Amino acid sequence: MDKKEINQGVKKVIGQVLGINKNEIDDNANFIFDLGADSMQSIQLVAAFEEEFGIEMEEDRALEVQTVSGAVDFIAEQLG
Amino acid sequence: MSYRTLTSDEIRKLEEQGCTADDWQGVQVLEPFIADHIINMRFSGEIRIGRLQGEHCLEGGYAVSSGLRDSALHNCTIADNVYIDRLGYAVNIDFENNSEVRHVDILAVNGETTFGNGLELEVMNEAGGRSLPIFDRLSAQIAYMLVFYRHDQELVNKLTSMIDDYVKSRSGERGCVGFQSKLTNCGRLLNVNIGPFVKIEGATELQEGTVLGCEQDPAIIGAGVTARRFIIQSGSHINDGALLTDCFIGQGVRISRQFSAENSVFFANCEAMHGEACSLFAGPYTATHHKSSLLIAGLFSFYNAGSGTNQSNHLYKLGPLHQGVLERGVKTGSSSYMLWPTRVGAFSVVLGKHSGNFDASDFPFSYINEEKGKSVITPAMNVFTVGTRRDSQKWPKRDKRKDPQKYDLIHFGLFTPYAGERILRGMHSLEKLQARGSKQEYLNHKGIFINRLMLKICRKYYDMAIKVVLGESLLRYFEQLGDDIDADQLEEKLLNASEPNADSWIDMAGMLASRSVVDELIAEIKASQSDIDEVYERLLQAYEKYDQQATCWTIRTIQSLHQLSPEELPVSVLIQVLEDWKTAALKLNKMTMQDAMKEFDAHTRIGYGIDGDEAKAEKDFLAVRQSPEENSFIQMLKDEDKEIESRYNLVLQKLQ
Repeated sequence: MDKKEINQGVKKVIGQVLGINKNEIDDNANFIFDLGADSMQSIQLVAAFEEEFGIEMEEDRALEVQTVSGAVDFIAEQLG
Repeated sequence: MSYRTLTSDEIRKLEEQGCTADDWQGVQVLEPFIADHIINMRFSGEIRIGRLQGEHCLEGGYAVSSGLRDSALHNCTIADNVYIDRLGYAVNIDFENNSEVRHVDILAVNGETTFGNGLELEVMNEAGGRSLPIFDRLSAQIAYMLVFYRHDQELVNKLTSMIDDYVKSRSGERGCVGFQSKLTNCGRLLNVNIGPFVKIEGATELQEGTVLGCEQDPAIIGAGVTARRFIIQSGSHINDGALLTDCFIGQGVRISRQFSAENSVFFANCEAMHGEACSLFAGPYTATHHKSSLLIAGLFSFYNAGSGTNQSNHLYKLGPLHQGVLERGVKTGSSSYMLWPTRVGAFSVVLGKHSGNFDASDFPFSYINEEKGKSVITPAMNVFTVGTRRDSQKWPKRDKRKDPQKYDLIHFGLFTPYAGERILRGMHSLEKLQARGSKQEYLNHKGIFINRLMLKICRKYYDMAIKVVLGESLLRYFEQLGDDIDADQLEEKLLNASEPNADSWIDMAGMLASRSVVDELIAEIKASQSDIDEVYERLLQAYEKYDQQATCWTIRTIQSLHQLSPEELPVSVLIQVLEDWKTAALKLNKMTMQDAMKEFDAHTRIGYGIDGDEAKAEKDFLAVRQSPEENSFIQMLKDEDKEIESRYNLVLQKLQ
C-alpha cells in the first residue's frame, strides 16, 4: 500500500470516527486542535486505524500521533 | 476523694454572691473549697463540686479563673478546674476536669439514654432491610459486613448481639462533658455525651448522640450545626450549619457548609459540603464538595463527586428501594446522573446522565459516557490518565486521623491485586465480546454499550495494566526479601508463600482482602464467644495478611497466565514477568505523561494573558502554572522512570 492509499484510508477513518467529511480533512490537520477530537476519540482513531490497516500500534507511540500526516507516516512504517 | 457539705459561713458567702440552692445540704464540695469562684449560681438536686483552681485561657489570650458563674445546675458533678459561665441550665451532667462551658442554653440528660449507641440507620435502602446499628467504636469494616452480608443472617445476628452488649455498657442517665473539652455559644444539647478534648463552638442543637475526642485529635463541632441521633468519632470537624439526622461520622471526617444528611454513615476522611446525602454508605475518602449534589442509597469509597452529581433510588414502582455500588476510586463528572440499580467498576469516571441500569463492575479504570441517551463504556481508558495517578498518591497523604486508635482499616494503592483481579475479569469479558464476532457498532454487556472498535485496544491497555500489577507485586516481595534472594531456592520459597489460596479480592470499605481471608474472618466471628473487641483483633489480623495474600495471588496468577502447574514457577518466568513489568510501567508512565502534557497545550492557555497578546499569555501561564519541567507531578513521573530501571536491575542481578 503506498502513502497515497494510506492517506485516503486515514482520512476515511477520521471521517467515520469524528463524523466529518473526509474530503475536508487537511493533511496537516491536528486531531485535537483542528478536527476537534477528544481524548476518547483519539483512542477510537487508533483502534480504527488498527482495524482498517490490519496493524498493531504500540500503545504509547500511537498516542503520540497527533496529525493526519503523522498517522500516515506511522502506518506506512508499520506496514513496512 | 471525700466530699463534704458546706459550712454555714460558706453558704452565707455564696448567698452574698447571688447563689441559691433548693437545699444546700445537697451541695457537696472537695477541699480546698474556694467560694469566691462561685457567683450567681442556682443549685438543685445533688451537686458535687471539685477544686476550682487554675485558669482557663479564652480567645484572645484572656485568662479567667476556674469557677461557676451565672448558671443553673441540677444533679451535676463538677470535677477539678472546671469553668462554667452562663450555662442556662445543666441537668444530670458530669463535668470532667478542666472542662469549660460558656454561653450554652441547655445541657441535659433526660432519663435513660444510650447517647446514639444502638441507633439503627437505614443505610443503602431507605425502605429498610439493611438497618445498621451504630455505636461509638463502629468501623467501616464492621458496618460493611452488617449492611452488605444480609445473606449471612448468622453473621449479622452475631455482630448485632455483640453490639447490643456494647450498647448496654454505654447506657445511662448521666451525660458527660469530657476532660478538657470546651463548649461555647451553643443552643440545646440534650442527651449528648461529650468526650475528652472535644470542642463544640456555636452548635445550634445536638440531640441524642456522642461526640468523641482525644488529645491528639478532638472532634470539633462548629457554628450552626444541628445533629439529631448521631455518633461523631475523633478528629472529625462538623461546621457551618451542617444538618445531620440519624448519622454516623467516623474519624477525620469534614462536613460543613450546610451539608445535610440522614440515615447515612461517613467513614474515615470523608469530606461533604453543600450537598445532601440520604441512606449513604460513604466509605473512606468519599468526597462531595459542591452544591446541588445528592448522593443517595449508594456505596462509595475513594470517591469524588462533581458538582450537581445526582442519583435516584426510585423507579416509582414499589418505593425508594434501589441501590448503587461505585467501587473504589470512582469519579462522577459535573451534573452526572445515575439511576439505581447500577454498579460502576473501580477507578472509573462517569460522565453524563444514565437512565438505564447497568453493571460495569467487570471493567475497572473505565470511562462511562452518555451518547444520545445510551450508556457507553470505554474500558481501561482511565489506566493511563494523570488524574487517576494523582488521586492514588494523594489519598494516603490526606489521612487526617491522628487518634492512635484508628477504627477503619485502609489499604491504599492503585495497581493492587484487587485491581488486578478486576483487570483480568475485564480482559476476559472483552475477549468474550470479541469472540462473538459481531459487526454491530456497539455491543451490550450487562446493560452498558461498548464500541466494537474498542474491544481490542482496551484489552491491550488492560494487558499493560496487569503486567504492572503482577510485576509490582513480585518486586515488592523481592524487595522485602532483600539480600535473602537466592535464585536456586526462590521457586520453592515462592511456592511455599503461595498458601493459602487467594483467588478473588474484596474491598471491605477500604480494607482489601482475598475472599478466603474474608471467609475465614466471618467463620471466626460466628464462632466467637467473645465481644466486639475480638472482632477488631480478627479484622486487624485479616488486614495484616494483605502482603502475604498479595504474593499468593500474584504467584497463582503468573502460573495461570504462563500455563504452569501449581508446583512450578521457574526463575525464567519470574524474569519474564519483571521484564514485562519494566516495559509496561515505562509505557504507562509515558502515556500518563502525555495525558499530563495536555495541561500545558494551547487549549489550556485560554483564559491566560487576559488583556495581552500571545507572548503575555505565555508569560502569564508560566507565572501561574509553571512550565512542564517545573511541575512536581511531571518531575515525579520522570524520577519514577529512573526508579523503574534501577529496581528492575537490582532484582534482576540477584535473580541471575
